[in-house]
Amino acid sequence: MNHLYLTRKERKAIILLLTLLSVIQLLNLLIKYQNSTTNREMKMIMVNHEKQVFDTVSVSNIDFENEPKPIKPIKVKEPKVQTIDITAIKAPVAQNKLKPTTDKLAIVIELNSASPEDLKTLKGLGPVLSSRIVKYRDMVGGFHSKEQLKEVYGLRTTLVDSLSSQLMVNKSILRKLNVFTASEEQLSQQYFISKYLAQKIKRLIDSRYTQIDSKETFIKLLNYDPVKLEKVLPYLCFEKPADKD
Amino acid sequence: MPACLLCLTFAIGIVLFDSLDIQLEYYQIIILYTTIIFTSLSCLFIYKYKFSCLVLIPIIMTLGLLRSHQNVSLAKDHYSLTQTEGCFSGRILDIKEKQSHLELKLKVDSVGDFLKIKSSGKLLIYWRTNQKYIPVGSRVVFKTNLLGFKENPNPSAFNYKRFLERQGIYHYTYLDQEELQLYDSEPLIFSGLFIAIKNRIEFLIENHVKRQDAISILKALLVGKKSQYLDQLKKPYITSGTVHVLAISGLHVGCIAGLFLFLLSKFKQSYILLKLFITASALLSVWTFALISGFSPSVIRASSMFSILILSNLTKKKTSVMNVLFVTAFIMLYTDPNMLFSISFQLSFLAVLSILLFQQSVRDLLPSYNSRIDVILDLFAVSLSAQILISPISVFYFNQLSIIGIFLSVLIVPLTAIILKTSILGLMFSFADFLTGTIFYLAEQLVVTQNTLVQYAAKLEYACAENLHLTRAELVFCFLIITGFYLAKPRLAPIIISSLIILNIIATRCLLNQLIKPSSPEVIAYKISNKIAQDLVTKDKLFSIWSEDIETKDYEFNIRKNQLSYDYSDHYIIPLSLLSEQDITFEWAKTKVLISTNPERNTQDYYNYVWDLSKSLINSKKKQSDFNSYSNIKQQSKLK
Repeated sequence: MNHLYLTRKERKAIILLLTLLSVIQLLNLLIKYQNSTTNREMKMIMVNHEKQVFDTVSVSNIDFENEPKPIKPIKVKEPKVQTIDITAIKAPVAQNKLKPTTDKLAIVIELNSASPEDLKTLKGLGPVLSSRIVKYRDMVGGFHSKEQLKEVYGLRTTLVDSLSSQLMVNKSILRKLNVFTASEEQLSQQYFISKYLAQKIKRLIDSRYTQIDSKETFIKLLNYDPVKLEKVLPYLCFEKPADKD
Repeated sequence: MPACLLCLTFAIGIVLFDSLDIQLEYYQIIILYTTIIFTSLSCLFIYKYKFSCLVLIPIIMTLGLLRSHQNVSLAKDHYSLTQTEGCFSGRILDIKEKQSHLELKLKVDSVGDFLKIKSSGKLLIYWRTNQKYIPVGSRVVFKTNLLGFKENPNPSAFNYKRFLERQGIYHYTYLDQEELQLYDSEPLIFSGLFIAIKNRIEFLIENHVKRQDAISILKALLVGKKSQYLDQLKKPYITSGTVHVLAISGLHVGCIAGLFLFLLSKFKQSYILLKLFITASALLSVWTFALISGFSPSVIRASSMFSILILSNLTKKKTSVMNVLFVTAFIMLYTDPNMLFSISFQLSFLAVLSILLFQQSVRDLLPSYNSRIDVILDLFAVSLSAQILISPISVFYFNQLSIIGIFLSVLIVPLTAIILKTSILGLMFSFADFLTGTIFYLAEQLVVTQNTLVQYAAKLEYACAENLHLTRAELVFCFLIITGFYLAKPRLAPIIISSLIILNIIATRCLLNQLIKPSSPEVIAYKISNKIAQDLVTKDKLFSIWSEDIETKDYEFNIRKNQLSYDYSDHYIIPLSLLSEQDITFEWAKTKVLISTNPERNTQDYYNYVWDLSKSLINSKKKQSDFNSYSNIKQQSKLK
């Protein structure tokens, strides 16, 4: 127990040391607080400015007219997260070069309207990949699902899966061809439709125009490789023109 | 011994804060500090030192608590309060080599995409090894989305999240080469000097030493470099309980300091200037060595102790080594309270404390013959006395207790000291190529001899008691017993303790296991990414139902520690492919479930099914061959 015993001198020394340490800590704390309050004031001004920019942007609800199912709410793990469509806030952000930094914002990007610059903001997408995605989208006429990103050369499946929570697809923007009105040449220009398929579709439409009233009958009558057809179908629409009826 | 009380009480304050998870407001901290100041001042001036030591205890404890609160609470300018995604810039502090990637520790200095906001904090960057190497000290800028660490949900598993939080790291990110911009690759002038010295030493070792194992070990000894190859070499050292010689600590600092102490003792009082010069150069060389070797807690401890001792020697003050030890501990804990939870700090301090407390008593128990044999007996006494406080810690963290290490240290420690001194000599003569070559050849041969010796010792059957387990409560219990013995009879204590310690650990476990033995069987489902591993514990049997892709690494990190906490006599490993999922019905039952990642699997029916299957498997000898594929893992998880 003699290790824990203190003589009067030692007690005096320790109490002096403790007082000194506490005073230093207290002063340190006060100085830090002083600095942080001035910092905070500055930050508040900045935040207010950002807020003004942010408030001018109304977060619009996108109409999904042609969408058969309502879009599921995006699952975000963090509790205090707002989801905002970047198409809506894109313009002001670009003009003011400001990004809200105080709140955690999980920015969701709409694939069919995003520019390479928008895509570049996503983790894992560099300038090459994002421009490649846009190039592919323009070539095929838009993405009909997030999974379609996997078809882009150089995009790993794992990356697409990890990005999926930050992406959404607006199918209404898809470049669609009406099978009843499109010419054979127009059809064959579609990325997924071969010349042979275009010919086959046109022949079918010409011969059995009256029988085809829906997507299902079209698939049935066309009698084509279902795997290949599945890729094509999102880009086709089946609306009979009024005058032909 | 004033520092003893100061340090111990301060440490208790830190532990209290950590276990109680106290959150204090700004004004509460100020009130507490003010109270401390007023109490201390009133003690000084009103009571005129007539107060008891007990008054000091709450004051020091509160100070410890406040200090660790200040350390843990995020600074007002911490980057995460501004943003966790966007632009970050900072300086690389440290690089750790891993199997397929590098772990870069970054000190953030500013954040913000367009407005640079001055910030603080640390974060981890995972960097693939095949990418461009970024040197320590370089300034980088990158844009990323930071991710938070996830806690390992498996019972008794190592909490990596907590471990990093104690170092002030809360986020990590993966970066590609094109995502990161290097601003200036030139490191700071001060640390650049140490990096240059380090590189020069590494270059000299690589140039003069031929064998790869000798290069790795010499680099570890001289500059504290850790490599993948060294990890393999370390295994026999760990088994034989001599791994402490590879970690730079008091032994290494002592080797350098010893030379200066020897010189100091030769000069008499009249040469004050010379004494001053030697002291200054000793301090310089010791701290240079500490900086080169990476500034680990054990090196800081050794260097600080040496500095205090040599300075007090200069001023002719009477010092006690124990007091110096506690003063050093207090200074280290005051600067970084989280250091208390570092294994390196704990082992380093307890080893020295143990030697100081018990060495003399242990030596008194050993006979003395002539001076030559006495040297060996002295070393043995040091080695044995160090084990007294180290062994419970070793069992708690590493689940093993090296028995041969106590005897082997008598040989290995002087050998390492000779290797160190030889290589330092080699470095000093680096201007003469031939001389350095010869000296390093000698060092290489010594390292090879040491390796062979250690490998041979590690292969001995009872070299190491493996698969031991201690809970936190049992660890505290062990220390209480040791303290009790020490306070009761300091002279007799060591021999009783050293023999009792091993018995104590095993007996406590057995006793507690008998008392708290699970009456109903338990199913433990481990969470290992996309792999299924479940343990079924009955009174004396353990069935492990694992999918085929469970690797030794998964077992070590997630399963082993929890399995060791159970007391079982038979262990069977059943490949998951032998079970069919169709038989499982989803229903909760009486089975006690500790943790579940697949709750639907923890059902009574499932348990019954596995039970029947295991019985049939054990009975039929034919199917037991299926277990052989797991021989590697099974061997490690063998019976205690």
